[in-house]
Amino acid sequence: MSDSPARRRITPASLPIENLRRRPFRTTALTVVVTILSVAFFGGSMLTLNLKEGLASMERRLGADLMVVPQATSSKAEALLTNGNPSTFYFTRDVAGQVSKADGIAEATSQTYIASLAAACCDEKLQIIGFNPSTDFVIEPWVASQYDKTLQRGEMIVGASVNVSVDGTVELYGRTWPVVAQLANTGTSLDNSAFISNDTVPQMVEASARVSHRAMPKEYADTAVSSVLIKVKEGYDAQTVAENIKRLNPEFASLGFVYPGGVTASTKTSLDTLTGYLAVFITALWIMGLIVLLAVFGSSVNERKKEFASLRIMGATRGMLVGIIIRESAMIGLFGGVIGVLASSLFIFPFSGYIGNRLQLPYLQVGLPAILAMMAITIVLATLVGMAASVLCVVRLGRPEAYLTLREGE
Amino acid sequence: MLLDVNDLTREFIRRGKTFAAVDHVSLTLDSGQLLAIVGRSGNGKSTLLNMICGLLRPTSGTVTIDGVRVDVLNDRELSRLRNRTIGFVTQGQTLLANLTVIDNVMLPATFFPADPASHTILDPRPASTSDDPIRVRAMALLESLGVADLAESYPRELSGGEMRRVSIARALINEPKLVIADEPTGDLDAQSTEIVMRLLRRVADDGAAVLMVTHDADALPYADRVYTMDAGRLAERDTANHGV
Repeated sequence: MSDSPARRRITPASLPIENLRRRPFRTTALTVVVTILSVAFFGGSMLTLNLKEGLASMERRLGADLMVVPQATSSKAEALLTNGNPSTFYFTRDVAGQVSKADGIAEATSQTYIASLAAACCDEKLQIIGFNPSTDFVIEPWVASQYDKTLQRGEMIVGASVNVSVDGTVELYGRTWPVVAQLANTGTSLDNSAFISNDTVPQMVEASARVSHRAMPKEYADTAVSSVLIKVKEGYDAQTVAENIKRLNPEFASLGFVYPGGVTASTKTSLDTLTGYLAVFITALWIMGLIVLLAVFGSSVNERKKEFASLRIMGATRGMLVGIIIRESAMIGLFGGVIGVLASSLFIFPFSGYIGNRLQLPYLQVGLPAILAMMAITIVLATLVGMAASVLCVVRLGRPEAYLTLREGE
Repeated sequence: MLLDVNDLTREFIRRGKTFAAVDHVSLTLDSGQLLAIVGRSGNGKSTLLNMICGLLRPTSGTVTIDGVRVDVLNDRELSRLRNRTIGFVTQGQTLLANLTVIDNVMLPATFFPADPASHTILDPRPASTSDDPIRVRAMALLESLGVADLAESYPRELSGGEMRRVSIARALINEPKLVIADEPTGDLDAQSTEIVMRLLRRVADDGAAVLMVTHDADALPYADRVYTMDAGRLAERDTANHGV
C-alpha cells in the first residue's frame, strides 16, 4: 500500500455526492429540469417586479393631471409617458396661451418634444424635451434633488440612460452640449431624454438643420409648443377642465387630451394582464416540472431497490436511507436553482433596457436587496421542489422487509 | 451462546392459504462454530436468515443474538446490531455500483462513527492512506481473499466470483461476532470456493459464530454442524455425513 494522501472516506453523508457524480446523465437531466423551472420563476418574478417598479416610478414622475396635445398625437404623448419611441410633434399656432385661460386650471406649463436622430451618446434616438423653467411644475420638482439652479440657455439635464462624456458634455447634432445634471433611473422613456429650457429649443433646431434633417420648420422653432401640461384646481377633475378648454374655442374640440392618471390605469391594466399570463405560465411549468421530477425519482426506486436493500443489510437505518435520497434530490434542486438564477441573470440584467423597450411598458430594475431576496427565494424553492419530488421514493423505500426487495428478480 | 433461535415461525399467505415458510425452528450457535444449513430452494432457508438479522419479523418465536432479543429492538438498535454484531454475505450481487471495491468494503465501518463500541472512531480524514485503520483493514481483507489488486475497480469490472469475495470482505469489515452467509460460494470455482471457506473457517476459529446456507458440497467439510431444512423444518444431520 502506498503512503499517498488519504481520500475522504465515503460515508452515508457523502454517498449522495458520489451517486450524483457517478450518474452524470441522470444528474444532468434532472438538473436541467430544475434549471428550467428556476429560470422561469426567477425570470418571471424579476420581470414582474421590474414592471411594477417602473409603474410606481412613472406614477411618481407624471406630475400633471391633463396634457393638451395637437390633433392626432395623443398616442405619441402617451408613449412619452410610458416607454415608447421618441417623437416630434408641435402645435402649428399658439394655443398654449388660450388654453391656460380655461376655468379650473391651477397651473399650466408648456413643453416641446423633439426626437433626435441616433446620437453618439445613446443606443437609440434621444427624446429632447424643452420646458419652461419659470412655469414648470412637472420636471423641476424631480430635477431639484439633483440640480438646484435654473437651467441656462444651451445647458442640458439628461436621463439615466444617456452616456455623458467624461468632460460632462453630450454630442448631439454635431455640437457638444454641457450637461449640468443626470437624473436617476425611472424605467420610462424619460431615461432616454434630454431636458433643455425652451430658450435652447431654437439652438437645437438650428443645430439639427446644419447636420441633417431640420427637426422642425424655422418659423415654429422660437415658439413651438408640443403640449400644455395642466394641474387642475382643487375641486375640478381633468375631464371637466378638458371640456372647459373645448368650450373656449370650437376648434379646440379636435385637440388631443391625455389624462396621465388614465395612462397609469391603462398601463397598470396591461401590466396586470402580462403578469397574470406570466403567473399562469410559470405555475403550469412548475406543475409539469414537478410531475417530471416525481416520475424520474419514482422510477428510480425500482432501479435502486437493490442498492437500498444492500445498505439496509449493512446496517443503514431508515433515517440514513431517507437522508441519502433527500440529500441527492436537494442537491439537484440546489444546483438547478443556482444555475437557473445565474442563467436568467445573464439575460435579465444586461438586457434590462432592451426588455423594457420591447415591452413598451415602464420597466425599472428593482434594488439589490430585492434581487438578492428573489435569488434566495428561487434557490430555496428549487431545493424544496427537488426534495418534494423524492417524497414518493422515500415512502416506498421505507418498507420494512428490505431483504425481500433484494431477492426480487433473482 | 451467541445465537439462540427459539421456536421460530414465519407464515405467508399464498393464493388465500396460509403456509409456514419457517416452521417452529430452534437452533443455537456458539462463538467459534461454523454451522451450515442445506436444503432445496424454497424451503425457507433465506427466510430464516432474514428473521435472524431482523430484516423480517417472525410470526412467532424469538431470536436472541449476543444476549439481545432481536424482536424488541427499534430500527436504530436493529440497524446497529446488523452493522456491528452481524456480518451478512448476501446471495445476490449487492455491491454498490457507484463505489470502488475499497469504498464498498469500507462503507459499513462509517455508519455509526460515534458508537463507543466502534473500533473506527477516528479522524474522518487521516493524514495519509496508510494512517487510515479502516482502509488498512479493508485492504488486508481484500488481500486475504485474493482481490486486493481490484481495490480501485468498480463492481461492473468484476467477475461474479470476485464480487462475492468483495461482499465477504465487506461483511467482515466490522469484525462481527456473527457472520451470516447466504450461499457464499454459490457462483465460485473450486479454487475460489476454497479461499472463501478457508476464510470463513478462520473467522470461526478466531471466535466468531458463522451461520451459512449453502448448496455447495465442497463447503460442508468446513462446517462443525450441518442442518437440513425441508418444508420449513430444520433437522440436524449426521456430522459424519457432510455430503449434500
